[in-house]
Amino acid sequence: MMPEGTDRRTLILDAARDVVCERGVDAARMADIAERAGVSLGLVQHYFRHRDRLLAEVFSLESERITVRWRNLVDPYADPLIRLFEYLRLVSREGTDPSVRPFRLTWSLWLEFWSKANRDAELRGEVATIYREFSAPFSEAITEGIERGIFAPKDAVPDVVDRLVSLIDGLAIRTLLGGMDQPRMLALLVDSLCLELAVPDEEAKRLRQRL
Amino acid sequence: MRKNVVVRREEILAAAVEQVRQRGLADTRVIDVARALGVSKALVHYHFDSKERLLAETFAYAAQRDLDSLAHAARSDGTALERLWAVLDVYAPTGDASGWVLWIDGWAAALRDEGLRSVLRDLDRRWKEAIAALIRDGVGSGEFTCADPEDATSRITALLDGLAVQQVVRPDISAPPSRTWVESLVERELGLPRLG
Repeated sequence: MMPEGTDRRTLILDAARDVVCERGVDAARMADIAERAGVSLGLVQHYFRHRDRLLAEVFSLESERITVRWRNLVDPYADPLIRLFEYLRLVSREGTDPSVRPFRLTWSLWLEFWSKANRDAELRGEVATIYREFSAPFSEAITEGIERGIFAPKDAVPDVVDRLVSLIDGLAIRTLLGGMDQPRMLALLVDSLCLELAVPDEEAKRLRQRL
Repeated sequence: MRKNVVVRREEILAAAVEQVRQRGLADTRVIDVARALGVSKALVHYHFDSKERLLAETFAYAAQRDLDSLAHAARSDGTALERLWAVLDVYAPTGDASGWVLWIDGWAAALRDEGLRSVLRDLDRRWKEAIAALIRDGVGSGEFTCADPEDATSRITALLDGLAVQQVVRPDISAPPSRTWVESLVERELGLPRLG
């Protein structure tokens, strides 16, 4: 029996994501994606019309899944510093649960995404939304920490968040290229977090013990 | 086609860098590079037997050009902070980020290409060595306070790479956060008093 509409869409999107990770965004053709999903090319075209549409949906679905996963895996009532630590652990995939996609697969998709967004105005329109979603849990935890008097950043929250996100992206690139490993990526992120938010030394020390 | 005789390898590579910046790696063809120079495709192929070969050498050439600018900036006069900024200004996309298009495409391509991965790793290592050396100089002269220059360097360079990505792909931050945004991090990493 064929799965229902939504499931078939997801099946195609997952197949597209895997083909993009393996071959690169430019080599991922609709026919390859259909073959991987085990459906006809016609069906892929029926759901997504053209390749750019399909790719844009692959990237936004993946970003949505990440934030949903974060919300499921991190206790929303935990101390904001602990929450931030958990998010950083998830982005660097250090010692997280096996249901989380491996580091290389997740991050290679984002590298492909940047490379494509660079040349594709339609996709760039989605980028802002994707970054906003990805940044939201960080913004919320930092704002809460400031309200509770735990954090004292010198800069405005959006600046701190943009900088943290840039740092995460930059460290992930280095890790993918083999110039760094995941434990070091996480340790550098934690130090940077403490520095940006002016976390008191005692707290920072306790946080590093979790590494 | 008289020009064919005098076009050197290096001119081809410089033109290829420009084409990849404008078109992206995936959309750069040998014919685009040839046209930009006003020479035949055959001449480009005489120097580089395949498109893959040309593009691989294009990255190596761009990396070397960056390292030459780095060496020049690191030799400048001044305090450790002034020299550090001279180097970071060469590295950082605080103005026009279009030069980074090349590297963003390169990172993605490197996932499937060990040769390119090693070019990029080497480039990264040499930048980091230069920046860490400047930080150690500043710590030695008492200008900076920094417990771990290697860690600080890794964070500063990673931040600049990530910032470049955002500047290139995000229309909502098309106005570059400018140097102050990076300055703020450098000040904190090096224990400098806040400017302005």
